[in-house]
Amino acid sequence: MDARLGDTHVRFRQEVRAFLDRELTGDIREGARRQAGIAADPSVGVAWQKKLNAHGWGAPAWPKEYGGTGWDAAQRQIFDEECIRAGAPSVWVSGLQLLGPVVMRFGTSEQKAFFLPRILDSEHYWAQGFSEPGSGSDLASLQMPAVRDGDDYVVSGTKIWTSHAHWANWIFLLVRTEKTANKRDGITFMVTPADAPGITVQPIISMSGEHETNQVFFDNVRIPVRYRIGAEGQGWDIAKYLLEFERSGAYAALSQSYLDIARRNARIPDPVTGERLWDDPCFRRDYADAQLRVTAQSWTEKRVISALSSGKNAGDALASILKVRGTEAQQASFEVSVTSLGAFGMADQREALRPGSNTPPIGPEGALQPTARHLNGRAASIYGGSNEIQRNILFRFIADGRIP
Amino acid sequence: MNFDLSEEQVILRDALAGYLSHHWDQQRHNQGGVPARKALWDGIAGELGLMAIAVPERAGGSGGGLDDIMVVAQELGRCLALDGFIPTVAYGGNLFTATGDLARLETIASGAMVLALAHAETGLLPDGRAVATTVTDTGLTGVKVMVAGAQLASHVIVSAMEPGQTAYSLYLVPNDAPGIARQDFNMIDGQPSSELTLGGVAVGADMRIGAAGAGPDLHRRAADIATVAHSAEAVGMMETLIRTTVDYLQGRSQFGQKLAAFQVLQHRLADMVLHLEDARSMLFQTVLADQGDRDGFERAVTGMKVKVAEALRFVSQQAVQLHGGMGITDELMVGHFFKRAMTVNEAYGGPAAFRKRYEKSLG
Ligand SMILES: Cc1cc2nc3c(=O)[nH]c(=O)nc-3n(C[C@H](O)[C@H](O)[C@H](O)COP(=O)(O)OP(=O)(O)OC[C@H]3O[C@@H](n4cnc5c(N)ncnc54)[C@H](O)[C@@H]3O)c2cc1C
Repeated sequence: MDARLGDTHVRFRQEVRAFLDRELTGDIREGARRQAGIAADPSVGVAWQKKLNAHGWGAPAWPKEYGGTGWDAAQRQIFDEECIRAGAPSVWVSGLQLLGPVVMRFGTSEQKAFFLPRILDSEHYWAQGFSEPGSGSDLASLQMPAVRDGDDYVVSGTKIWTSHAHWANWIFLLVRTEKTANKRDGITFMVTPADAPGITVQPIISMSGEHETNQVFFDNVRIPVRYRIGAEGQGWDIAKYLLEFERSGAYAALSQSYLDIARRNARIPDPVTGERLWDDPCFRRDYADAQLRVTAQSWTEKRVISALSSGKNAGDALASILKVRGTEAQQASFEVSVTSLGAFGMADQREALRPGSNTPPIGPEGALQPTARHLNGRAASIYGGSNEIQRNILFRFIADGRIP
Repeated sequence: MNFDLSEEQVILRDALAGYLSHHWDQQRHNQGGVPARKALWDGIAGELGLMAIAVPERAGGSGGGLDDIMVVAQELGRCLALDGFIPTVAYGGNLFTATGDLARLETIASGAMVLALAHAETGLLPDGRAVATTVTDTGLTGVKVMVAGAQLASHVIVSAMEPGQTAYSLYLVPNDAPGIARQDFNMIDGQPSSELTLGGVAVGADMRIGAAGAGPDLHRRAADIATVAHSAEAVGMMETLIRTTVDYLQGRSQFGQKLAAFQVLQHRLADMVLHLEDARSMLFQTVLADQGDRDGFERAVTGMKVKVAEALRFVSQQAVQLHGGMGITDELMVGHFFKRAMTVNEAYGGPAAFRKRYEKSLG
């Protein structure tokens, strides 16, 4: 056993740091500081993505033949960690991380040639239309019918929680092309331009006051057959493949960055007494508890990387473990970062958080993000397969004797 | 022994519940801002006379006790209503009762006085005896942050040091006094809040509450009473949250069955109730404690706060979780309860400050 990175990876980390020092300019960094949700506002995220792409780093997880970096799992992890540490914006994942791999695996050569380069250079901004009002955790029960009519499918119904759909120019969808005995069999994967006639996007405002997600209505929307990915009825397999990409991720680095904010806030001495929250045993205990969660998570992430690097598949069980523990570690860290602000953690920082805002936060600089992050962070144990569902999945592995 | 409410208390509770069901709804809570809050205040003060609840009879009040404050605060908590009640009736009422200030108690009873506490100067509520704000010949000077409710208040209570004193004094300052610059914003629970810059606010002889340097003791007692009220509010909030969540799980199906049929969710709800009932027991213990026994009462209040905060945190987080995506929206009330739970827990210093006092009280 050896936890050290090899020389090439050590050098790679230095290269990434040098790149970030150089390219992460003040305006992008400022924009990223106003991100309290899943991803940066496109005004910031797309600019950053274009810079990454110009450097050949637009698609960290893609193979070289499609314009990706061809990095191994350890490099991808290093890249994610360094980006978060440096305060880079999180780029919206739907195209790069979700649709891209699906097109590579299930798309026709025309589809690959058309979609992949446009994801890379951010010409296409994607939204994910899976969930429906009646089908959340039980995704396979989805209803939205797609009826074949000549060279088109005609689609009517509604999708919900479609994040960033108000910015997207393309949406990928799971639809029902057949009512089958097993509800998983009749599902088909297709994509549509977001401005197709019959599509309307209605905002859903979250409790932090942000507009990140939407309900999307489809009224006799015509989707050409050439926009179907894979065969009719293959949608469920494709969705399962895609969700593996949604569930893995670098949770520890983001959590750590909020513990760092908490530490900085807590070390500001009280102007009258000179006391610091940092020296308060109650705060220190909460902080330490969160730190321990993050440390354990970061080592779980290392184990996943190591398994992936040696060609083993991380598998569903590890993906679920990463997701449950990763989101719990994040939520604990966000909460400690709020606690570190005392009463200032109760201020609504909406004005200061608006993209491009010049309003300073209420309280110290470190008060800008934690509260909105904490509010938004509650969703992380709900989306991408809730933590209850992940535990159900884990139990199946345990029952089958596959873990531990 | 009997933990039931009295007949009068049941009438009071039902009257308040009835009033709120007609005059307070989600729309007013979320979008109403200061005008809706002011209207609710005037309505409840005028029609129900609730602000008189804990004011002594000799000052024109109903002479109620902590148990009556509990009944009202719990009902308000069920509906997320009337954030000004606790700082005015519980905190302010206690201050003026302690100093025997009948005239001001009368203005509380009539509903004319609405109070906001201007004590904190950083994110941490001053726990010691000193603050940076001063009062000199040129008046009150300093900056007070996170003054919840200042936009609605008729008066703010300001802590400040007099020359030569080692402990602060408390002042009752009219909100429109010249020299107060207010920078307004909202708190996450929608409460209007402000930062106050006091640039030499003139201080009249009758504005000090109690003796010079008496601030820390007066504040702590009043804050403890307010904490009991917030704990009652928390119990009301948890009742609503649990009820709402059960209804949601019984109404929504996934995987061909009601969500309420999944045992893990049943147990989660059971745990939410277990937390709630711990909190309720701690609340009763404190409401019925002998306030004359300073140490005993302090131990009851601080211990209660620790348990109630733990319960409210768990219940509000799980209520959101069990609602799935709907739980994080602005549309359902569960998210608003979640945010109010954060501010209730943080009020008067946050759970950690109370935990330390509780640990110390163990001797
Ligand atoms: C911020 C946010 C962004 C999102 N973005 C997208 C997006 O871009 N595209 C998209 O398609 N979807 C998106 N989603 C939807 C997300 O995937 C769903 O919210 C999630 O699958 C849960 O479904 P639900 O909200 O219907 O909750 P429900 O399925 O109704 O679940 C409610 C509660 O019941 C629990 N539960 C359900 N079934 C079981 C069971 N069998 N055993 C135990 N407990 C159970 C859940 O864990 C949860 O606590 C997003 C959601 C959020 C909150």
